Amino acid sequence: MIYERLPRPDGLQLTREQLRVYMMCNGRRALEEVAALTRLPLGELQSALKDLQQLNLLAPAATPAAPAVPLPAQLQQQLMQEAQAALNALPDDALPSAEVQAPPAAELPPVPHTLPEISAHLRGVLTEHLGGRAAPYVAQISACRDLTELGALVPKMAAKIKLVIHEQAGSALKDAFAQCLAAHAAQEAARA
Amino acid sequence: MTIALIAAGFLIMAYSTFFGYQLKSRASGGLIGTRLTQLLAMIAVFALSYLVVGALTFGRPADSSMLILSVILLLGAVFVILVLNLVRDVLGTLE
Repeated sequence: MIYERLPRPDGLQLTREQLRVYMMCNGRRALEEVAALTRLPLGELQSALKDLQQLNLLAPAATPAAPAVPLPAQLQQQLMQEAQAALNALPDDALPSAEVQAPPAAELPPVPHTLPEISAHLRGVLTEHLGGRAAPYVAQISACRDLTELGALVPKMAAKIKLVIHEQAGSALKDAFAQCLAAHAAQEAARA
Repeated sequence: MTIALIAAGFLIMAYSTFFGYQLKSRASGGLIGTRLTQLLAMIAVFALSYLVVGALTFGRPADSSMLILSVILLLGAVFVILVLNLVRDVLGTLE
């Protein structure tokens, strides 16, 4: 399995193990590489990987850079023993994130609530569903200068895409924008 | 008279099939694209049915029931053209 690191939103707190895995998994890394670099026990490593995937910080790479070759069992065992020994030798405050707490399970990655974030999120949704056909719509979203303009554009665009281009893409765009607007409203209310 | 009405209906349906395929190229996907595909399949089947009805009634003596049937078929073909015009106008508005 190859893992790919995704951008980390500001302010997202991670546990010591999660942060270690995230920091070591720069670019694309095979599971064996991550295990060797982080020197974490397999159980903790898998738990951290699972949490990071749920937090949308790591994702399995769609096309592996090279075919993953499983390590021989003996070498894997030795690697795990070394990782365990090295981890035990580390002081508790070896990592700067030792004091940070894991987010609650219900806490999800923050929904974009500023114009650049919302715009980028919507462009991502469109590109994900439409690929190259998203280009004119991405350009229109990028040209919006404020949230009011975006709010006038997106519902019409979503309806058009749903009717003549791609039904799921139109629905996804509409839902994503509704979520962003709700997050923006909540942020404004919190400020007030 | 009956054959003339059925022939007119077939010509309109043949044109509708062509017109429908043109519209389909403008709406490749989405709800309209999906529904237009179904509509086009039905239009093609009905256009062939006009031919079959024409072949079955050819050479038969004209009677009032056949005349009424021919008129109904012709109006059906006109209805299809009107629906396709509506779809064209909707697509034009969306573009």
